[in-house]
Amino acid sequence: MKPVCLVIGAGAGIGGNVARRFAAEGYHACLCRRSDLDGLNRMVDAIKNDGGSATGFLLNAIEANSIEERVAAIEAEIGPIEVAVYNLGAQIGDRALKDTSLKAFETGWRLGTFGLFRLASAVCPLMEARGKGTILVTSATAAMRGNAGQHSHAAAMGARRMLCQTLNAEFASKGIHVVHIVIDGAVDAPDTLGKMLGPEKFKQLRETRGNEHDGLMLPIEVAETYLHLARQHRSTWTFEIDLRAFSDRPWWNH
Amino acid sequence: MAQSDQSDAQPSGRDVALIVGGGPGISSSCARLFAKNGMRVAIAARSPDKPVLQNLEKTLGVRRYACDASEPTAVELLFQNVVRDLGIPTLVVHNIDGRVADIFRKGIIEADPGIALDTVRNSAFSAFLVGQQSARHMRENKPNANGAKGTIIFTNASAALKGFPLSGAFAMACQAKSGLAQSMARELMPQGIHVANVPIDAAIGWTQEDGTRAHRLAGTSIDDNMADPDYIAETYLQLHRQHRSTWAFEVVLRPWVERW
Repeated sequence: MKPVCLVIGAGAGIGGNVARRFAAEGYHACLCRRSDLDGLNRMVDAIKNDGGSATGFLLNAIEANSIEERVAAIEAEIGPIEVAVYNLGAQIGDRALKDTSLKAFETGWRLGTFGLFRLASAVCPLMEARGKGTILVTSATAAMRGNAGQHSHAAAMGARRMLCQTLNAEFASKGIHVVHIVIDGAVDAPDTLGKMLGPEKFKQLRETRGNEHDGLMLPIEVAETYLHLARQHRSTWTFEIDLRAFSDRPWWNH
Repeated sequence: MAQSDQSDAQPSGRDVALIVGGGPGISSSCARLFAKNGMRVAIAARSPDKPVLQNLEKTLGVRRYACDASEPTAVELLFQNVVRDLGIPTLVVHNIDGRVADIFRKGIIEADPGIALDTVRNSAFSAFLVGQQSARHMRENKPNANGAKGTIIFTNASAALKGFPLSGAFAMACQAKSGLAQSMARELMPQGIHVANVPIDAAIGWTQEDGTRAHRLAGTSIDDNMADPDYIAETYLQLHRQHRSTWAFEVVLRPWVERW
């Protein structure tokens, strides 16, 4: 039975590429995303075509019990979740306070913080019983710095970071490696940034900053660092790492 | 990505790694791992004749250089010699702790000012000198397949994260090194030189002749409760191999059971 790498938030960006990278290393990748069954199937097929094994699931992380039931079913039917990747974003673009609705703020918290809490509640007891496990949490500049217009996102991501710290404080010594990964720049991700900007603007951004300029973070390269983190020996674990393109100026602490 | 038809930085096509500050811990682990991965490795120390460094030369062909890294002319000469012997470095690790015996556990009232200044010179000032020489040479490199002209890694310590009591000189040194690293990263990363600050937030226990891993003051490692330099080296290598579209700046390493 292969160990499982579970990815919550497996679009065509970091999530899908992390799943693919881990599958290439012998994990069974479980890809979960809210919508776009065709896109999900394409990613699963791509992994299988490469000789890896993978299963795709549609999962709405906001729905009650969705994460908990998926974790239980994977453990029962596929294998032990050795690596759990929480890769749901909550970026809604810059909005002034008056334009940030209660609903938008609450949704940010549900995706940014509460979903991770639920995932951790589901997988930590399993990992603790096995004495090992890795939880890789994709995060954002907003976890470190509340920029203008980021009311919902910064609150959600700041809470995500603190949750990661307390998870680490409780579970590191029980063999669970929790990593808070600060993605401190724009990612070349069609399903998130691409959708937020729209096809025209995204194409433009790729031409000016992406492609050969390497100014947009390439998800397949980001995945290399995820893999390294999951493989770190327990005598030298990293809790937090910050990643950005070489040319990017807006560091979280600029 | 960099064009594949560009030649690598070195005529030999091999990475050249220079480790400044050499002993039995991180530097030796790095030298072994880098050599195993096909790099030409140079190691510089005040006393390059230590048996552990001689052994690296014998077994892996690591070049040894004598250098007081707190002296500007000595650091300049070191780089000239390494460039002459091996080529321009593509990976430089500044691995100097900088403390001398008489500064350990000295409170602010009793710490000797001269020794405190020596600590800062040995650590942060030497980091500046090594960083400066690295940047001057690396900017001549052509970008490799990852789009990088080189990588500069600063080994740092818990004192970079917080000032501990009875450790004022070392806190000054480590936080100065962090500030230097951050400034260099902002300046050099857009020019294709990757700069990383790596605080090791733990005692480092290296493998002794009897196979145990121990630290001079903290004793023997039990259940991986101390950082193993062989694994620290693996993260250094991964940093060096990161693609320029996704560079890390600060990576803290600590054992799983460490409280922080």
